[in-house]
Amino acid sequence: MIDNLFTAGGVCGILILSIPAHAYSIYVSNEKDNTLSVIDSENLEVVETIEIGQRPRGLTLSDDNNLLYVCTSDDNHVEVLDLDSHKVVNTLPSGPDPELMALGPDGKLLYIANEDDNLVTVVDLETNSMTTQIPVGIEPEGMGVSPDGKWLVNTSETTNMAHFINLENLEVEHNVLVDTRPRVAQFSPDGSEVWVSAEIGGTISVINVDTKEITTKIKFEVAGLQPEEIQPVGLKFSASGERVFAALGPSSRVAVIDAVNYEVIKYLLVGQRVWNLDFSPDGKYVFTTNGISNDVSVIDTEKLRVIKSIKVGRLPWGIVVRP
Amino acid sequence: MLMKTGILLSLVLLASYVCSAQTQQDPDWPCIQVLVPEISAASIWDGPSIEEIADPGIFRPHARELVSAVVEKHEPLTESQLDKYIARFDADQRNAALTFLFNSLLDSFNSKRHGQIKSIKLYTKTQIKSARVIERLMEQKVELENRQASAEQLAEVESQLHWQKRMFKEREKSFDYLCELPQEIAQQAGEAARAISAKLAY
Repeated sequence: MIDNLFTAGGVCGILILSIPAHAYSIYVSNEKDNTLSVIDSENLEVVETIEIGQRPRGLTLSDDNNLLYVCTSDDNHVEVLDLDSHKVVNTLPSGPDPELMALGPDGKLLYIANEDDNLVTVVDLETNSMTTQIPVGIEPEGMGVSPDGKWLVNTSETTNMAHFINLENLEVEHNVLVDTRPRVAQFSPDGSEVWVSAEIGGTISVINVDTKEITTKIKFEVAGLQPEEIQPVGLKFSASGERVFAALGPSSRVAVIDAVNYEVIKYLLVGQRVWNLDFSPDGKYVFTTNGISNDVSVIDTEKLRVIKSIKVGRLPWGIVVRP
Repeated sequence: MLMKTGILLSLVLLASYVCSAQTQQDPDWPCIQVLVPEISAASIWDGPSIEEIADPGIFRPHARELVSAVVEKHEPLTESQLDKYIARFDADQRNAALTFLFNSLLDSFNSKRHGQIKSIKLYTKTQIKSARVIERLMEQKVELENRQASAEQLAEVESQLHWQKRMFKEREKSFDYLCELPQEIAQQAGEAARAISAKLAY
């Protein structure tokens, strides 16, 4: 029941006992507060709030997990946070209005979607300089790099496309039309599929990476909810690739999807306007950012239950778990 | 050429909001947030259903007081208010009373939100009309320049154009604020739902 979400003191007590020996941290960008909330895995509580640039949204860890790249959209750059000192140690030239980004396969290049400029900016992380910009569709947003490092898939919100960018020549080689306002692109761990969520379309398109064709469209239906409330946004594959957790926006639901037969196993009630999510390093928990209720929901991935709500700043947006 | 540039400019002024409206298939909805006409109970509540309540009439007068305070007077729903409300009923009526209160609050929040959505759409229509006025004034200005009209005539049109543009831009600034209002109501409704839900007996 819903009280489990918000008054889960007793359940939390049990959870504390079950926390793994290797603690980890959860970083949340609070878009309206210009801060990052740091949640400690041991108590699942906010232990620090870090001032950051204006309108922080997308978050990405460096290859060695020692740096956090933060899209500070209204400052038109990416801030680099040292995760030991929690100080901003650098800024990267991202191009205007950076929203989401993806790290290249060798960790040396960062690909950044510039929502206002219809470009993907490529930044060399060794020199902290922009190397090139790739023209894509209108309002680029979602960014996913294939596990083999061959493809970058970028979604464009207004053009309703998933653009396949060849990372060898940095050219768009294929465009796949998906449903309205595509948001997030995620490759399956084996690299055979890329899943693209469509916020207004209310679907997830499953694209075969070899043929560049949509093989399945996953639709959602929750009793008592209007179709407009079901807005797929954030997506994450489990490490095994067997399940996908999908954030469904104002429906306040996370859909747990069987990634083998493309069926929804369960809808979990989380906080309001659930936007992005990430797994704990051991895969036992999923953490979601809820932009209207200003909290992070904690999902037990084995029991498929929401076990806690953690209050963070205003308009929580991006989330990453640092092992 | 100049006329075309002018027309283009007035259209550009509306571009961001019109684009948003186009993608959302509602020409009068200007916000980047997808239009959700109503907050469904299921999006914030998984307690008992209102249909399960046998005699809702007994809760109505007491719930009305709280609805008035929370929705109309913008006051948060406090724990002491909820405890006082629950204390008015027998223990076996507790969940029904709380469910009725939630539904009454949601109806009222939705009604208020519906009014806001209507106002935002009206505001968009006003801006579109204003853009058309700017467009016509720009055409007039070009026409006056082409036929080398008097300086007074030209100054009059330029003055009107200046004020119309200024008003348009000032009103444009309100969109960000206006578009957040329905979300604020959803937030208040969610907070109330969670507070009530925490009092349900299982």
